[in-house]
Amino acid sequence: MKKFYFTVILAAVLLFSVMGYSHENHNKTPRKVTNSSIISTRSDTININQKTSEQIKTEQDFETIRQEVKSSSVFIVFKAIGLALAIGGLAFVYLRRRNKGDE
Amino acid sequence: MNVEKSNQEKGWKLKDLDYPVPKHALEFGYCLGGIILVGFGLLIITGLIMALFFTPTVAGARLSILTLSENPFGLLLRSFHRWTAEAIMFLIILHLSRIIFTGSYQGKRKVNWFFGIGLLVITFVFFFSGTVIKWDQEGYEAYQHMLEATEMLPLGVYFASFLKGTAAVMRMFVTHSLILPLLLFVFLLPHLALVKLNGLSPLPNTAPSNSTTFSQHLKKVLGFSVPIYGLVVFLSAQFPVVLYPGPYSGVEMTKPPWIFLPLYALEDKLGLIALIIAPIIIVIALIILPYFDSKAGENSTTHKVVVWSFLIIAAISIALIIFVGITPPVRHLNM
Repeated sequence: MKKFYFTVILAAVLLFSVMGYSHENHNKTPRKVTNSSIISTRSDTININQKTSEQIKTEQDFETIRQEVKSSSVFIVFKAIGLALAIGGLAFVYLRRRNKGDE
Repeated sequence: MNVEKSNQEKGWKLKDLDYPVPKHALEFGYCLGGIILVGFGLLIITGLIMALFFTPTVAGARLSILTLSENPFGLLLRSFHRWTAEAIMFLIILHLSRIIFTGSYQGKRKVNWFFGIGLLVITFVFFFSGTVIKWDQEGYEAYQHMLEATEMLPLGVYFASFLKGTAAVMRMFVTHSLILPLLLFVFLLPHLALVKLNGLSPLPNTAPSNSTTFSQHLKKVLGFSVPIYGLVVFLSAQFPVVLYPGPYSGVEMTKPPWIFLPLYALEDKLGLIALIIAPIIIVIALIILPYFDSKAGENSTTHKVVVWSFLIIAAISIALIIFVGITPPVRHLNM
C-alpha cells in the first residue's frame, strides 16, 4: 500500500513539475485583453489570420463544406459501422427470440 | 474483520439487479423507456463534447458550428446528436402510445403519469431550444415564433423582452444545456423510482406474473438500443444534418422539424395563437386522462374512447405532417 501511495505522489509531482516548467516564460510582455486578443494569446499574427478565416467562413456556403466532408473516409467507415450495428443487432435480437421460442 | 465483511455485504452489488419483474418486461413496448434513457445518455455525451466547441453568441454561434462541421468527426457528432434527438422524439411517441393503449396511467400509476407528462414537455422544449441555438435561418425563425407567441401571453411582453437582445443565444444555450438537463433529472428520478415502487404496469387482461429479472430487462434494453442507435449512426453518416444560411429578418424560408409540423399547419389556419392554445389543450387533455379513464382494464367503454381518440389525433397529425412537408413554407410572422 505504501508503494502505491509513493507511486501516486511521485507521478503527481512529476506531472505538476512538467506543467510548471512549460508555463515558465520570462519573455512575455503584458498585453491588453481585447475581443480579438482573447481568441488567442499567442501572437497578433494568429489573431489577424483568425479574423480573415472567420470572414471567409461567413461567406463560405455550408453545403459546400457538407459535401466535401461527407465524402471523407470517416463517413464511409461510420456508415458501415452503423449498418453493421443495426443489422447485427436486429439479427441478434431476432435469433435470441427464435431460440427462446424453440426451447 | 467481521465488521468489515458485514459492511461489504451491505454494499451494492450487480446481483441486486436480479429482482423479479414480469415476463412482459422483455417485450419491445415495455423496453421503450429504457431505450429512450440510453438515447438521453448519448445526447448528454455528444452535447457535452459539442459544447466545448460552441460559441453561444449571436455573432459566433453559427460560425462555431460551421468550424466544427469542417472536421468530419465534428459534422458526424452534430449529425448524431440531431438524429438521436429525432429518434428520441419518435420513441417517446411510441412510449406514450404504449401507455395509452395499455391504460398504464390508471390507479396508483397516476402520479407517475404526471411526471411522464412533465418529461414530455421538457423533451419538446429541449428539441426546440436545440433548434434555436444553431442561430441559422431555421433557428432564428423558431426564435421569432417563440418571441411573438410569448408576447401574446399575459405578462408575456416582459418575458419576451428578457429573451430579446444580444444575449438571446446565450440564454437559450443555458436553457438547453443547464436548466433543461437539471429539470430532466428532477422529473426523471421520481419517474424511475415510481416504476420501481409500483412495479411494471401489467399486460391488459393477463394475470400478473414474476418470471424474469430486472437485469434481464436491462440486457434487453441494451439489445434493442444497439440496432436502433446503430441505425442512427448510419443515418448520421448517410444524411448529415444541414445548417441554413446566416439568419435574415423579414423572410420566412424554413419549416420546423417534423415533430412541430402539425402545430405549423394549425398556425397556418389560426395564426400564432395556435402555438399557445394547441400545446395547452394537449397537456390539459393528458392531465385529465387518468380521471376520465380511471377504470382498470382495456375493455371498458371509456378506455376504448380514449384509444380511438388517440388514434384519430395521431392519424390527423401524420396527415398534417405529410401535407405541410410537401407544401412550400408560409409566412406567419410580423418580423
